[in-house]
Amino acid sequence: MRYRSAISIPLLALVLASTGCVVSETRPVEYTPAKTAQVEVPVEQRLAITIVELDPGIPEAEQTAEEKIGVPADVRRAESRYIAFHMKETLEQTAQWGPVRVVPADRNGSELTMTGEILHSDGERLALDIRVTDASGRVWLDRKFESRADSGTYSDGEVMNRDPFQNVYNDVANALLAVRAGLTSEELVRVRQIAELRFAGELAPSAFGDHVQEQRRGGYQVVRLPADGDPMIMRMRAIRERDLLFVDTLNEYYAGFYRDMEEPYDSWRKYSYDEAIALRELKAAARWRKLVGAAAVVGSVMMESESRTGDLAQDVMLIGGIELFRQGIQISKEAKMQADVLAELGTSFGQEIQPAVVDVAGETRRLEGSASTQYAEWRKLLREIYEAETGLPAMTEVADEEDLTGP
Amino acid sequence: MGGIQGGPQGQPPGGGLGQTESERVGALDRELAESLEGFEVAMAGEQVRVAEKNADQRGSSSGGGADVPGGGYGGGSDYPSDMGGGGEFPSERQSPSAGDSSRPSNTAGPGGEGGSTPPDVGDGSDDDIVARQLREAAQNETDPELREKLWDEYRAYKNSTGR
Repeated sequence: MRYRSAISIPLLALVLASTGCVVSETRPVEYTPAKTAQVEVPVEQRLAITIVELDPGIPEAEQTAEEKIGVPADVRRAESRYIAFHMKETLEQTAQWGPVRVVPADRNGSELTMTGEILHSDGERLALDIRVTDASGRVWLDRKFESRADSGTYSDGEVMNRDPFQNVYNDVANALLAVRAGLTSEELVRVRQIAELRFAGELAPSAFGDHVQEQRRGGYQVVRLPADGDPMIMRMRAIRERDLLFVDTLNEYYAGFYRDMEEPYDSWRKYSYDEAIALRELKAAARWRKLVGAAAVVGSVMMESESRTGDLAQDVMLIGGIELFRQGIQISKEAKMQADVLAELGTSFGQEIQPAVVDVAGETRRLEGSASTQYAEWRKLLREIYEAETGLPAMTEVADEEDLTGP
Repeated sequence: MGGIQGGPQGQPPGGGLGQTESERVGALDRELAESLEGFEVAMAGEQVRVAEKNADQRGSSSGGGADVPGGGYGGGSDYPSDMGGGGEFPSERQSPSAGDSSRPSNTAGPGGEGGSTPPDVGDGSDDDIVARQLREAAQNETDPELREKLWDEYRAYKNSTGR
């Protein structure tokens, strides 16, 4: 018997290509540790880091969000806080930095500010777009960090102590260190000065508005420094301390949310990881059977036989091909149900975590609203003190009366 | 929170006639100091509150206040009402890992009347988060084929966790 090999070879190549992609996704991920401080880091290097809740990356049309991002929008909203807080924990554990705080929105006066967007997140892969800038406007990082799940952390239904995507967090921490290593002590001290003076300039523009200048090309530069022991800067520092106390209080809420979410989130990620792998294997198996079955059917039809043995082989090939194809369709059906299970689990987890997301968002907004009223009063007091001390009329900022955002 | 300041709003404190510049600055400084102190107390109260709340949610019996930074303040009852006193706080949310009793764990979904829960799957009282979600999904599923698949997943998951 002879086969028309021109048909069977491309089909075989297609079959091999369709089955070859499964194994590579489950290979182990090599762990990259975060560089921790072995000796005490000099104070000027220990800049304070402010992490803004990540942009959840939810498309505007929320109805189609789940389809696009692969998980319900509620899950992604929860992750925007969870990931930010886990980043804080990672950075703190390196002992390389000053205080690390999570905030709902960008705050003036931060030494280093981290913002980011969740590009992809499920049990298998995490991809974040991370941007870090310092108070002078210098961009430290602006790039994508991603990793597949370290499947070793998913064991026996429990996630081990390490986050499955700890590599992403450690990579960010190490990248920050690398940037810091390239800066001089003077540059780092300057960042701290600019942060303080930008905070002061917003709080008391009459006294500090001209100490820092915004550059035409972006960024900020110190024009002059306040005198040592200047009572106005002492007052401003006292207010700044309370501002940090306020942010620390917000972080207590974030911490509660993080701890509450940790266990169910770990379970959900572990389970969705297993399901996604199973789903992909089912899909590959279905594809393989359909392709081989189809190839066998086509091959048997095109086979030219000149004997009874050849006819028999042709029939066996045809029947076998049809059976394989039928199996392929059946497995596809199973895969579809597996996908439905995965989707239902995501929806259920989203519904479960949603009240906690609403709660932490409500608490942060309530506190921010209260604090902004307080900041407005402090601004007013500082203005009156400035006028009394200098005899000059202070600038009147619209922000004093209307702006509800803190420094 | 605006109400936590000591001095009257919108009026210079002690701003009587004949006051010297340094006296006026001193009065304003005192007002600022009082305001800062009031804010600190309010924040300490918030921290106590959130610590207690977090402890409650974990079912812990220990008081949260002792571990709070800046502890030693009077506690929740001392902070001003506009910082959000206990009465203003929304009702406590259910912990994701708790509150099973309030959850309709055996509610049959549309089209599922009791019989949608197979007899071999137990009452789900020892379910963890994933098992609970699978169980609920199965109970609420209307497609019989998918519902059976979900129960299979539930059984497989329970076996894998040894419960």
